Amino acid sequence: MKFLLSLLLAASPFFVFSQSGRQEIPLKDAREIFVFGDLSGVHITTGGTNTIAVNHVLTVNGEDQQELRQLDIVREGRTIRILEKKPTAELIKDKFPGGGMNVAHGPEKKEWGDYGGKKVVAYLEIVVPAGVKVSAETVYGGLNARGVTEMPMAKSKYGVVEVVFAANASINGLDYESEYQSVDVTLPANTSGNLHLRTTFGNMFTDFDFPIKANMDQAGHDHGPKSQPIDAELNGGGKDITLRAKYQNIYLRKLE
Amino acid sequence: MKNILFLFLSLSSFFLFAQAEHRVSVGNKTIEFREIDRLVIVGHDEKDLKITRKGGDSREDERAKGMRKISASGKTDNTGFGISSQGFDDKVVIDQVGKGDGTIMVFVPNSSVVKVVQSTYRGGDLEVNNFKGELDVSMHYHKVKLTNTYGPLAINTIYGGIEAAFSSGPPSQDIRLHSTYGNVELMLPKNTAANLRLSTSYGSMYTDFDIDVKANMANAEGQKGSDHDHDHGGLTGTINGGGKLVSLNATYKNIYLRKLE
Amino acid sequence: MKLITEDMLVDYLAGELPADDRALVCQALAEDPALAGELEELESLMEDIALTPEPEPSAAADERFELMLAAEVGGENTTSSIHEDQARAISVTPAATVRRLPYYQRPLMKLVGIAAAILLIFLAGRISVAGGEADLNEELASTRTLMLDLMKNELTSERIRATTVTFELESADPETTQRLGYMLRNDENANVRLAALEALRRFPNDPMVREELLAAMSESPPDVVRFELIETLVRANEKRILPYLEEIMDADSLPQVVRDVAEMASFKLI
Repeated sequence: MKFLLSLLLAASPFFVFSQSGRQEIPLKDAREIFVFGDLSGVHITTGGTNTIAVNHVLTVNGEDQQELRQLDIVREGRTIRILEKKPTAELIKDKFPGGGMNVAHGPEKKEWGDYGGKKVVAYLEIVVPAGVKVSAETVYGGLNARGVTEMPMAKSKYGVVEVVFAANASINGLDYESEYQSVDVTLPANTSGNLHLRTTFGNMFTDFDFPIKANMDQAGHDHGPKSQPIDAELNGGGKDITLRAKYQNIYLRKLE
Repeated sequence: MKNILFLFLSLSSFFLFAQAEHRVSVGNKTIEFREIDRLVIVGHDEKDLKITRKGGDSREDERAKGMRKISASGKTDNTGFGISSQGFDDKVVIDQVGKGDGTIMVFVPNSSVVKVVQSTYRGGDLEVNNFKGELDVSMHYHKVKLTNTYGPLAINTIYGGIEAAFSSGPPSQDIRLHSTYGNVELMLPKNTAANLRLSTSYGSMYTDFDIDVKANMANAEGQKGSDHDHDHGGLTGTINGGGKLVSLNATYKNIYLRKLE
Repeated sequence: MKLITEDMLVDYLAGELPADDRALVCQALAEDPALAGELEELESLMEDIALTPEPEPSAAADERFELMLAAEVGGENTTSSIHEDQARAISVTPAATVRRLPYYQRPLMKLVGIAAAILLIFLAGRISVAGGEADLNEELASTRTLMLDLMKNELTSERIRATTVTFELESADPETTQRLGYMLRNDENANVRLAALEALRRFPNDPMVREELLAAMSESPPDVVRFELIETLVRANEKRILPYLEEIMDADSLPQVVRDVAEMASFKLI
């Protein structure tokens, strides 16, 4: 009996990983976390005090796929790196060959439509204590962060980057980019910084009030697309706030 | 009650389909259109400039609600059509803000002077219809299509051609159409009296008018100069006794001067 | 800062600017060498008009007078030699009865009559020839005046007319060429520049026209004008354009089509 109980206790962390995808990572002396999502979308909120709560979800056609989930948790100095090793898009295609793949990258209810193919739900929910610096990068899924106080870097290849800062957030420079989707950032109204907004094929929207010095390149000598950069000072200027969305739009909002 | 409901439903569909527009008071100022991807200009006898749009993405951008569109030009959309309108002492300047969406249709007073500059490869051809004022166009990549534009015309394009037609009587002002790499085509009523200056370096000239030729450097029927002969095809002459100037230049392509029967 | 227009520069030179605008122009001239250069050119043009000379008899008219005078003087010499011969004849031969000629038949009066006739013919010739020359010069002066007036108009169509009025001229006079060159190089509007080029290239062999075209090439005109300049100068077999063509061929920032045109043009000139 004792032996069985010991076995159960020894195996319990494994079960935590594999059955529900939930786990708690002690913060200890870490002050910064980096999250990487491959197929999954990454959703970051703030809460707790001493631990980072992680929920890694993967279902295919409604069935949990515990063997196809894997996170590597690596401590490097005062930084904790949470890296999604599985699933990858190739892995899902290998395990479920034939037909297309429709992926929901977040917990929101998705309208699947009548496109057929596999219905995949893949996302990573991270709850970090306030005051912890967060950076994140995704490939296929979007990146959604709310209530963060410090998030200097956010990048996605195919997903939307959407970040809403807390009212007491301190913005000391931002570098956000989505290669194929939009970048949507909400900053406290008194944020100051040097804005660098870059889109080639999209539009830019804001409800902040800042003067824009005309910076139009003269077209005609270049057959390629012309980037129309906006460089402006927000509330007197400060650290660089760079937002890039080559093919889609940039939204720069004021936190009400 | 049923009648009221019926009336409400009928009117609601009218309001839904009524076309949005933005009006600008222009007075006697020159109207300049700069870098608008897709533009159609129509003359009208009202005093205001009226901006509307056709086509484009009808879905509203939910994310953009409550925000204004900005662009590197420093201009902001103050018309609701992705267009900036700014008034100066002597002109009103209409610019595109950010990416174009659909075709911008503008109705300009027939008494106005209109300038159009389009130097990007984006967008499409410029159309101007039924306009009686002065028209000055510099177009880089696209075509210019003119229908019944009866004011003084000065049109140049580099890579696109020019097509102009007059079907409501002969033009009464000077016409200058210049294209470097495109064809220049002009259709005039058969009784148009004009002084012609036609010029092409590497193309040919075609017409069904009887031209009283004053001077030519190559056969007006379209024989090009030889490869060794740098003399271009060009002629000056008159039709129907002469009148206003019609100057057509197609440096590398052809000129077509057609008679409208 | 308020934009300084060509109209304002002309009024500035004429002393007709309001005080505020005059101060603006002064400030702009001090800060902008290009603007100061433009003012100098305008000033030069206006001085040239003021110095337009009065019509003078042409060399042809002078030559005709000389010929007429020579013919008449030759006749006078013949009359004098007859007079002298007659005198000798009188002194040598027995005197015949000498009759006093009527005054109008006397040699002196004949001479006076001939001189008067010559004077009348000369004056008539001078008037008729000078009248033709005067007509031409008057036409030229009125074309120049009209041109200068139209050049400073705000409307593109009117500035284009400034070039069209020169189509009446059968030769390239220096002042008109200079003004067309100014418009080709300085007008803000590509269509006006093209119109000036069309007027200039009527005289491709005129040295001053060539200089204006080359100067325009050196100042990086808009592409559409640049293409036409290249074609015009290549047609005129103007080899001095070759360095500009080489610059264009080497400029990566320019569209490939432009560079191809320059390369083709250079082959034709070599």
